[in-house]
Amino acid sequence: MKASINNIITIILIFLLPISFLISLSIGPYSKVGFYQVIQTILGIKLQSTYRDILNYRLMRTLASLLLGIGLSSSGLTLQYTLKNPLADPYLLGISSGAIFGVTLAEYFGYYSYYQLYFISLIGALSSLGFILLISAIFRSSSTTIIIAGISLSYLLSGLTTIYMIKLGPRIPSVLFWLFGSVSFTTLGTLEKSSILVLISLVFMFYNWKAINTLMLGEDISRSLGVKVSYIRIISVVSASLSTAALVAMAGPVGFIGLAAPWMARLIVGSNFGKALIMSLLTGSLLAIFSDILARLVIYPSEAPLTAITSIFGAPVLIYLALKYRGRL
Amino acid sequence: MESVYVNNVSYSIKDKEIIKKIDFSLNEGETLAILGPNGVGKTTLLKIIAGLIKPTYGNILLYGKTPEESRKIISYLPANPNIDPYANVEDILLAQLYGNDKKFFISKDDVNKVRKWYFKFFEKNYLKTPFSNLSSGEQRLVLLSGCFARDPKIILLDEPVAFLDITNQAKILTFIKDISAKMKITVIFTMHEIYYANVANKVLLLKNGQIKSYGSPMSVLKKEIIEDVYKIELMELSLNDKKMFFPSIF
Repeated sequence: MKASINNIITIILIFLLPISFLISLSIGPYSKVGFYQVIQTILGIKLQSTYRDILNYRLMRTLASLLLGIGLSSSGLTLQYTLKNPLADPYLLGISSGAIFGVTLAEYFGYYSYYQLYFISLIGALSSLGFILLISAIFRSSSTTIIIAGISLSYLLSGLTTIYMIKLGPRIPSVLFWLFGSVSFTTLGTLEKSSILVLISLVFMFYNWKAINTLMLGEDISRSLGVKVSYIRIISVVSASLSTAALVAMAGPVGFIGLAAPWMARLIVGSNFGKALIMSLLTGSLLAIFSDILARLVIYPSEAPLTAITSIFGAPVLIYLALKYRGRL
Repeated sequence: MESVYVNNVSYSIKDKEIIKKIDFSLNEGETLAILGPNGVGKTTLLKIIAGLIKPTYGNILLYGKTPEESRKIISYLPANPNIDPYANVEDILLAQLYGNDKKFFISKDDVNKVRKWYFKFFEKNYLKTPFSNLSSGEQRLVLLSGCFARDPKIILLDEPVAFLDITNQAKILTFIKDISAKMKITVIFTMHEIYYANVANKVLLLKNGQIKSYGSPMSVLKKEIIEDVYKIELMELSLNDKKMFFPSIF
């Protein structure tokens, strides 16, 4: 009985994905381009070029949201399994703090284009990853040590960021806007680059899913089954962080999706890592796309930051699910 | 046919020797109970046989191969496995098949195999229940059924009956005894309940990381030997030539 309810939920979610695309394409400050124009385009009717540009822009940001959802939720889920921490999210290891610090520092020393900032934040994020890997390689760390190192690094970098942000003075808003996270400033170029990194990470996650799945049995059993636990842990941390770094660089540190979407997936399909990974792609992309739609609607015609929306609307959904399925937790 | 061959195995951390010159061998389908006080090296010895720890000296052969090459024929169950409390029973059992299942997908055969073994231990269906909702006895039985579902030739169990009530203890030990004989599975387990060692074909008694006594339960379970190892005065009870020992505290 329970299984069939979950099947129905799954089918509904799959149907919601194209619907979310349609809504996302129809909504924006240019109200002349709406649902009717979207349908016309789908049917092959040519619109005037300004309308086409608007639709292209909306399509691009919808795809960016999709990528954001896919990448953050799969990374969050992977870290939750490999670090054996149900509250792990993609930013736990200081990946976003590295990016934020990089961007703040860059803004402090000069003016950069969005495209340059993309690479600066990528470098910042990957430096954090490098630090974590160094720690775990040198000290052959357990998952708890990795988490503590990551959290400490986050605090260290946030401290430094705060100081440079104060020094920025009146130019603070330029960083703040990026800091809140949004797909509105994503470009086709950065979307492409980030998609490649996210896809590579997904390949690693799926390729190793059975090994990652055994980590639910604890390290000893997992190793006795023939899983190289330290290797799998490193591979997982690297994939999740690479994906996260690419997304933070593209759209800023968008919060909550990486924690909430994996849990929504697990509550629907259960604890098998492979199934939860597939489902998290769906819950993540729906959460991200609908959040971006709401970001454009709540203070229409201006736009709210994405993290504000994911948190305001994601939190109640997660609390509701946790209460509804509390027997399973 | 020789299934387990432990050849002059020693293990030390820094200068401290945990295990010293352990030698024994078992035949296919035999059961071995490893006894000894806390911290004597029972768990370490089991981990060495499971291939989780490399011995500093000596070697292990399981059907002629090293433990690392024998992953597919071993099931190992630690005393306190760190199981994800949110994971449900069926997902745990399927994960335990790793290496002996379909490489990439979850196959119908694997699901059926896991369920077949599960229902040998359980009447009620807890397959979709989270692990943490089960009692500690049920949790142990779940993991044990996963050990068998793997189709192993050798099963290594660290304190399989610890923290369980006598019903579950009897259930687990009877199962180990019957299955090992019927399916020719070699089972090695550690325990603190000396009287239960009678269910095994052989008993290995450790003292300070060394073998104090090894052989049939009859030959090992003797009052003087046990008193010497555990450093405590014992009372002996005999019943149908099985011996039981209790500390003289009554």
